[in-house]
Amino acid sequence: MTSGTDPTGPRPGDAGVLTRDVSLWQIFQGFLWISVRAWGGGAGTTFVMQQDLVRRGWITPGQFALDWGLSRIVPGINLLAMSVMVGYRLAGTSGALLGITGLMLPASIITVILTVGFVELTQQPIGIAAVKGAVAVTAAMTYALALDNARGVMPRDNPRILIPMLLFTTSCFLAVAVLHLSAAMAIILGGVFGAIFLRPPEAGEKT
Amino acid sequence: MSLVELFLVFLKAVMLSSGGLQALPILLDDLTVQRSVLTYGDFATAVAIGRIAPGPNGLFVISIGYYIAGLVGAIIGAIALSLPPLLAIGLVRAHQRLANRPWVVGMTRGIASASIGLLTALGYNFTVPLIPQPASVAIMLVALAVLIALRADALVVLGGGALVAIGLYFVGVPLA
Repeated sequence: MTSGTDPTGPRPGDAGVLTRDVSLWQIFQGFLWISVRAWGGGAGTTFVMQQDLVRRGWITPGQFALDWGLSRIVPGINLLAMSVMVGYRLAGTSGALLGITGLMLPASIITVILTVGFVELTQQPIGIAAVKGAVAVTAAMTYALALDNARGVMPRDNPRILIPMLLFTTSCFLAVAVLHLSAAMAIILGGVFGAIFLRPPEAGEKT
Repeated sequence: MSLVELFLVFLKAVMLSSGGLQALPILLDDLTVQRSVLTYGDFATAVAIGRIAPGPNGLFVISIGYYIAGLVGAIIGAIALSLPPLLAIGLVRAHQRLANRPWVVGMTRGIASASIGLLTALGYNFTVPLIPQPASVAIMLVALAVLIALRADALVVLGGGALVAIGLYFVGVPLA
């Protein structure tokens, strides 16, 4: 699924787009479809987004991982920033606007409908049970996404890069999960760490 | 509270947050503590709805808008949520210009590594409250296996988890 035109596979820093000539209507429709199917909060939405966008060739898993990180330093909901980034790469500013509109529209309408009818919903024990089941699946989706992103980004054939990346990922997990480091800080530290330790060597060696 | 004021309160909260849920404490302070236009109960309900609704976390701003000013309030909330993420265009342009510099290649690898660590930490945060109930942990593990091994569609797995949970409710198995 990560096969691009580059035989070594996509790496973060590639434009990360495998398709050309995606129409504005397709972008709008694509994000509309993600929005309708993306139940399960932010993690569920991230998972559906990655699955759909990669299947369409609109983004590589590596670029998705990078964008997801970059989107954390944009103010507001990071997945909306991601729809802007993906839409912009596919079709410029109009693509960005249609991407975010497509993602917002169905989810917003459903949110309003749920707000109106919420009291009835939570009085049903079956409804509560369904939500509990969905929460457990959401946890699984988050791990699956992390694994898929790692497969897309980490160069298995290059230990000089792979080992520090794995070490940083593990430290980042511990710092955020145990020490409650903020997400934005983790991303900034990742950028600094990478600029120093994960840069490709000067001409000659393939990275 | 005027609609313009509501819009500005929303916009401020979204601009000062990264990730949907960070806007929550800012809005709670502005709307419930300082202006008293929303009760704690309404606030909690709005957040719960935001969690259940499809799409990214943070759409509770739309529910809050609805509680305060009906449909117009909801639309104001949606607009306030949509404007700040457009700043991401600048980020993409800057990245495209610099993409081939070695330090940028390294930086993007570092950011991607951090993202993967963050995702795993997020999964961990979801997992901790499930641990007291083995059935919840079992649903999570089966879902993980299905997602990884079968590359199953997200909505199918989510629906499956919900159906299994409903089944367990009828059998009397507790879930977290």
